Amino acid sequence: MNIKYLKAGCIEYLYWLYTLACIAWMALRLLDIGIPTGVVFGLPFAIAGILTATKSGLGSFIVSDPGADNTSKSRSSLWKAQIWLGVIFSLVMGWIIVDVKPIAFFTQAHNTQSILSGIFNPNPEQMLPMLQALVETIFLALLATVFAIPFAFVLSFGAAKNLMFTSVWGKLIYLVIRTVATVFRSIEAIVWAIIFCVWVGIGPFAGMLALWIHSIASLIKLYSEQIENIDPGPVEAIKACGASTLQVYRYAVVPQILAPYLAFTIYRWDINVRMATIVGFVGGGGIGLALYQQQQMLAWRNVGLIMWLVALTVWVMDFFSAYIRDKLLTN
Amino acid sequence: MRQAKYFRLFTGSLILIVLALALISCDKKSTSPEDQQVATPVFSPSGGSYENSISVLISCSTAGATIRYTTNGSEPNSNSNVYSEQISINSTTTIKARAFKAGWVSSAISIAIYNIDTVPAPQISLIGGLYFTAQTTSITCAMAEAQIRYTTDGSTPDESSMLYSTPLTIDASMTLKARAFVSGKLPSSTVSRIYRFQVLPPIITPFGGVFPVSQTVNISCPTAGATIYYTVDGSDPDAQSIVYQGPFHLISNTLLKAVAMKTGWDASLVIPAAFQISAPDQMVLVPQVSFHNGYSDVLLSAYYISKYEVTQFDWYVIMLTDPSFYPEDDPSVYTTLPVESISWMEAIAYCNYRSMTETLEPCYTFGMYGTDPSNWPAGWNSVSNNHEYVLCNWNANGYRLPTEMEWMYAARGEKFSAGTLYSGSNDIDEVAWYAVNSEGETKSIGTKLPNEIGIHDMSGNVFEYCWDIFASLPTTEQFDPVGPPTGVSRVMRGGSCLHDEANCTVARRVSTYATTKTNAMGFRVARKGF
Repeated sequence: MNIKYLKAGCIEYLYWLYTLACIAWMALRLLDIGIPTGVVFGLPFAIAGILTATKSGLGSFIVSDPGADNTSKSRSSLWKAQIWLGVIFSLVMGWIIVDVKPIAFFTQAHNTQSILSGIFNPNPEQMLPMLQALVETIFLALLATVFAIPFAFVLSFGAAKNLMFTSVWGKLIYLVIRTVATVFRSIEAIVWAIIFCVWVGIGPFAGMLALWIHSIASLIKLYSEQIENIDPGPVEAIKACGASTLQVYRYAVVPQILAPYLAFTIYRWDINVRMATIVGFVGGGGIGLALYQQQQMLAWRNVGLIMWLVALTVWVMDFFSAYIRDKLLTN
Repeated sequence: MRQAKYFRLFTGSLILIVLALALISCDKKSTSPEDQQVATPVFSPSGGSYENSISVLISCSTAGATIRYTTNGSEPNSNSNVYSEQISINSTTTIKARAFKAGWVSSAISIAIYNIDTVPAPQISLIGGLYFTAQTTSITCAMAEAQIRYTTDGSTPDESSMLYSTPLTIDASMTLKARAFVSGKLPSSTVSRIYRFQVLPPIITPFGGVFPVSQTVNISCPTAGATIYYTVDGSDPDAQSIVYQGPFHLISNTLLKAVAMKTGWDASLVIPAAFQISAPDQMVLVPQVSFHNGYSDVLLSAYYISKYEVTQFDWYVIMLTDPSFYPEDDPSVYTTLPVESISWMEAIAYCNYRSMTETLEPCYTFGMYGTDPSNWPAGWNSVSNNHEYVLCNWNANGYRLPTEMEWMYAARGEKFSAGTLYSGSNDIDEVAWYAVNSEGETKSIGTKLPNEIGIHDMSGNVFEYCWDIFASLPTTEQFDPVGPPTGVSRVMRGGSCLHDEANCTVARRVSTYATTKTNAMGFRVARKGF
């Protein structure tokens, strides 16, 4: 019972702290009135104490057992008001912080005139160099994907719970691979590209490495989840026949995952083509770099050309990748 | 009466004495010269042959006579040496003596020839005088067994002086003295020769003149081992002046003076050479400099960079094309608008064609296809990756793109430490056509203020291609950096009429594929400065 009071008190305190902080921030920003720090931190404590003691606040509502004591809930609807207050404060705060300018949105559209007219009037004279850059992009995405496959394939077994949770060493390997893969995946490819641009110099190779390392991390997750979803029947069957670990992988796991693996790989290539454009922005070569340079030169007709080329490529890739995946997964 | 007798006697005696004295005096006046000539001097010992040195005594029997003599064969006269003590004779000598006495007829000339048997004087074959090259001389003596000894420091040779054996090399100013010795005989007289040596004048190539570009100057001196000193400020060079150590570059009007010196020799004549060197038309010379580019120290050799961006007219004259986008409503060639809508590759071709037109050495080669862009394979400038095949001969004197650091230094102006944000000013509106004041189109070159060294439009108007391949700037000290050897795109600098002020700073660098072109991308040319 006491721990419930403590929990309710904490929730109540955090809620009021947030609310008062919002008020203080808005007072400072809009009215230029500074509220003392002691008040911001102390007042919520007092309010939380009162509300917790009377069991009427949001904290008490959250902590109370559902259906245990309906009378106290129906007795006080303060928690509803608290939720409304929180939501409204958050929205107002957001509006101010994001600096939402609806007038600008509806009245300044003409500023984009040169950009839009350029984009919808692409410059065909630059077709040749841009196609070269596009080809570079497609192939750097292809190589990044292909080079990622073997690494991801091998490591994905180590990242599959159902295969690794049979021993302590397996758990350790699982943990390490999963952690590293998650960290690498959460670092955006654009960041990897910045790193590799310094490492190997600006160019498609840096872009390829950035996509490669990001693809490995992503494919490990996709592949290993596929392994975790396999039918355990064949595995148990072949284990019962006395198969070694490698034999289990070869004859029970791989046949079940091959088709989805291919599908994911093609999907990843598809993603990589799109990401290669972004990676190019920071020096990863290909059409992305061209787009960046042309955008820097304010050459909107060239930007338009690149944009349409990329859109076309992605659409084609998307179409074929979907078609192939469909065939692989259904057959 | 007796008194009168004495008086007459005394007077008569007196008259007699007077008469006698008068007679005597008349007699004296009529004396003949032979009777009053001074006696001829007599030599002791008398002339003849002697084995050793002797002392000659000259005497005269007439008391009070002064003896004067000569040893050089001339007749003694009243100015000749006065004999006062014995004359020491060391070598064959002819003495002529004569005695003088006031009021007397001078004596006859007495001649004595003393043959002293000394070693004959040696002969030095090289005559004294001024020489410009090292000489050899031999010293010979008529007496074969004689030892010839010599000195070069001006002292009289003695028996401990250097012994002559083989012909001497004379290669410094000196006084050579030689003397022959034979034991048991008197040494010969000393023979001396004075030699002076002067370094030959240095040879300056080219020997001044009027030149359209800077010159590499070579100074040589035909005299081996000479050190050449020179000045470039018109003053006469001396041993404190600049020592010539190899060919150097003159980049502006210069009065060069050179002198060659060598220890022991006289300095050569000072040779002046006037160089009138005019900077190429519409270019400014940036001297050799070092500056900090924000990442590292950079040292640059001297170079010329164009005051203006290449105009549409400049382009048309060389390429016979009009690629430019501006002005939008009039497609004709404008003489003052910068050329744009040309790729980096095409700018390279322009540089070489222009160099060829002006009979300069083109800077760029494409692979192994030489410097003439018309011989480069079809499509060379349409494939972006080909840009790595373009190579630059940095020693050629033709037109080329500035390197990124050349561009940056020129944009900063000469006084880098007072470097401004934009090229020439911190107020962009003074020096640049950019997005805010250009109405979105290129403007005539040179219509904004130049920077400190007279270059216009480094900020704004059009972005300018640099030679360098785009990459992070190195952080170690650079000497004449030309960018990395490989990479995907090239550097552009300077902002354009479409860009905001942040893009127009002297530090802003952007990249471009070598084959792409936009209406904001042009260039200016540079040339090597030496």
